Amino acid sequence: MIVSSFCALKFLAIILVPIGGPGSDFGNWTAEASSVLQTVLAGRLPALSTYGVYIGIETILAPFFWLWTILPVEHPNLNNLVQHTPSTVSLAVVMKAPILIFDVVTLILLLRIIRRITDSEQRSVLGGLTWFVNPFNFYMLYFFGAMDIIPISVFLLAINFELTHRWFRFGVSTIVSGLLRLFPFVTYPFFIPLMKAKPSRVNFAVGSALPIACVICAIYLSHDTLAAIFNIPAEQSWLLEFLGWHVLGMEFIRLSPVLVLFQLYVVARFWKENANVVHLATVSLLALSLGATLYGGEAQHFLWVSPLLSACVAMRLADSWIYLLTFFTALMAPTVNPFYQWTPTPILLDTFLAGAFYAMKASYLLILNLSNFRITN
Amino acid sequence: MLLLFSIFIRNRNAFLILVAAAAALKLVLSAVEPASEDLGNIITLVASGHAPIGPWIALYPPLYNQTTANINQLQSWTLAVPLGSAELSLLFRLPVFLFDLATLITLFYVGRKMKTSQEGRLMALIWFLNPFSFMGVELSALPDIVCVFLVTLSLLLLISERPLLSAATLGLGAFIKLFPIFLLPPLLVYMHLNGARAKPLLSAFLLGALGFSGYLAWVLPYGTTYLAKPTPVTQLVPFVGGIPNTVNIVTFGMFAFYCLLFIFVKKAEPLPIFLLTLIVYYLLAVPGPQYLIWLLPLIAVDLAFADRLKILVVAILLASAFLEWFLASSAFLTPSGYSLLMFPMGGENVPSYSVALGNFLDSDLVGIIILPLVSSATFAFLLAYAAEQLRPWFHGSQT
Repeated sequence: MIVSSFCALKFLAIILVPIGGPGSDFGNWTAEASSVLQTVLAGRLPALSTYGVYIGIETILAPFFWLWTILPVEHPNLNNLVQHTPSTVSLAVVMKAPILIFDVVTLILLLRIIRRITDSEQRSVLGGLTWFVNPFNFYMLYFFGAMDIIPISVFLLAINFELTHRWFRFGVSTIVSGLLRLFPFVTYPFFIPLMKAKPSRVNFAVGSALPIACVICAIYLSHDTLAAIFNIPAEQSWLLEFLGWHVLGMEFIRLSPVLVLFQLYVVARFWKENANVVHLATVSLLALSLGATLYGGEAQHFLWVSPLLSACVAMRLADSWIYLLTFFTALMAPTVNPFYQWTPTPILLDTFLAGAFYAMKASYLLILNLSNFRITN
Repeated sequence: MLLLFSIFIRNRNAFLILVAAAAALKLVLSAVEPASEDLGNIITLVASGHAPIGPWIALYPPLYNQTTANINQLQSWTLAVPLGSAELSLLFRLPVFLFDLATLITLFYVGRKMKTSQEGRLMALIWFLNPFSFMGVELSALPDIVCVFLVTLSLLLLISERPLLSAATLGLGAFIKLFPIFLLPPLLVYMHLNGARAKPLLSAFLLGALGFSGYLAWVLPYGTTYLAKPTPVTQLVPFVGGIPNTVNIVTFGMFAFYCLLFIFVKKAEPLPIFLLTLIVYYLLAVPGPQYLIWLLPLIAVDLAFADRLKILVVAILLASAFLEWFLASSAFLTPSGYSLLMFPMGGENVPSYSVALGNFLDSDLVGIIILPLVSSATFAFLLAYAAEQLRPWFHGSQT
């Protein structure tokens, strides 16, 4: 009943929230999907060096854009869209459909993950609801248009495979999600100790190699050059925001890799041996989102951690308070808060609200670490 | 491989043969290797006549008592093509090599004092066969090896219950290149915890302070420039300069660390507190890979008693520091351009692979992605190693 009501609400948001509006990513995704479609229709493979690291998501969105082009409505230039006309509404419905689809897929996968870990239907439903009715997720998906939901679903699928010990598929889906949005690559070294036996490690490695081999073939077929691919970080400089703040003002030492690698050490040295995959994935991504600079670590990217935190809170109900505070501060963060532009003294509140959000992320990271520590440490 | 290595540790003669072979190789490479950027900088410093050189002049015999004409000749020495200049190349590196050997011997005695000769041999080999120390000592000819030796000697004296001699050695180290002075507070804490009275404590403090004054005495005649500007022979004094009315992070960090040391360490053993002090100082003030050489003998001592995870952390740390050094530092360059680990790549007529390497090192990919990732990895694994040193503090025993 709740899920159906929220599905209806979300569908309403799809229709009402304009494409290409201020503070939204829909316009960018739509334009890129259109460009990829044109390349494919011209008989060429989209090149990684042209479309950058999000080529995967853009390729997935291209068929949806093609669907819109064959609908019996006007197809104006994307730069000249007039809001709330049949053209834009149909474009919104088609281009945002993947969000709703993968939102529901995420819900289903999350239910399965929690049920498998806690063996409790009640907790599984609770965890699922914290994802599906969470206003933060609602805002980021249906107002902002974070297509991150696609790799998130694939990543949760990977976790599902881990829980059923299907190591080959675990490897494939972890790497596929990473190829779609990079962030799951951070979790990869955290997952390796999960495989205790040699055959499972081999299966995982072979599964991981498969999508990489496919990408190499695609790069070869699209006549990309290595130099052009290596130049992507310079071309898409916002990627560098994920490296995070400069530690102690030093030029080359950046906070994100320091935090993630130190977290890896903490896991290897101090964690219980039977730590579960959800906690491992959560701490690695929390460390990343804590280390990234304000842009890279802004709330949009906190969406990656959101379903994992839903699973975490369902597994340990005692942490509900920190879960609620974390998402409250996330919603209030300057880069999310939909009412922020009308706040009377934004500059005064800016650092306070951002600081509160970062503090909650750090606290959650600390709590997850403490709850997994071996007693004999 | 491990079995083979264990022979060199168990058998004294096998150990000596291995050391002799490694020493011979180091000497041969010292003779034929081009001069490093650091050597070039030292020659330039001497030539300028307006920079402190202090006690260092004795470390590089070819620089001693040079006339202007000779200095000009040295500066024009085509350092990338040392053939025909083997004697000169060796003369520049022989004293440095001797300190390398002295550090090896000191480490052997540290190990023997702490446990048995086998541990001593293991520590000595971890130091002497380490590519990182070979790169930092013989190939780069970094003068820091003198202080590294003195710090190791200071540790040996301390575990031999000779704290005043240890303090004097630290003072001598501080006279030469400052950083050993940061080990004086832990030494005093150690003495205090071992029941030392006020007089020996004061004496130890004065010996260290004397060394520090000596350092200032040969640096300050050139003004405060060389307190805030590093050269191969002088060291940045991290407490000087900075933005007025702001907290100096190194001052804050070191003071806070010393206070925590005093609060938490109840049963002092010299190695963990020395090692942790240098790690904290390194992380706060000078996180450049070449300065890891300061820690390396102490790390060698620590590794002899380490578990697998700690060994793995150190192995990754040294590997990433080595890579960072390669990617970032001019220590891997010869004056004529790029070289691969300082092996000359063609002198005047630079071959295409050398040009390709140069282009790669200068590319955006290295500058904005690879180097930050590698540098951050070095920093993170040193943090992890610091955590490894801290662990015993919370267990009531230290090894």
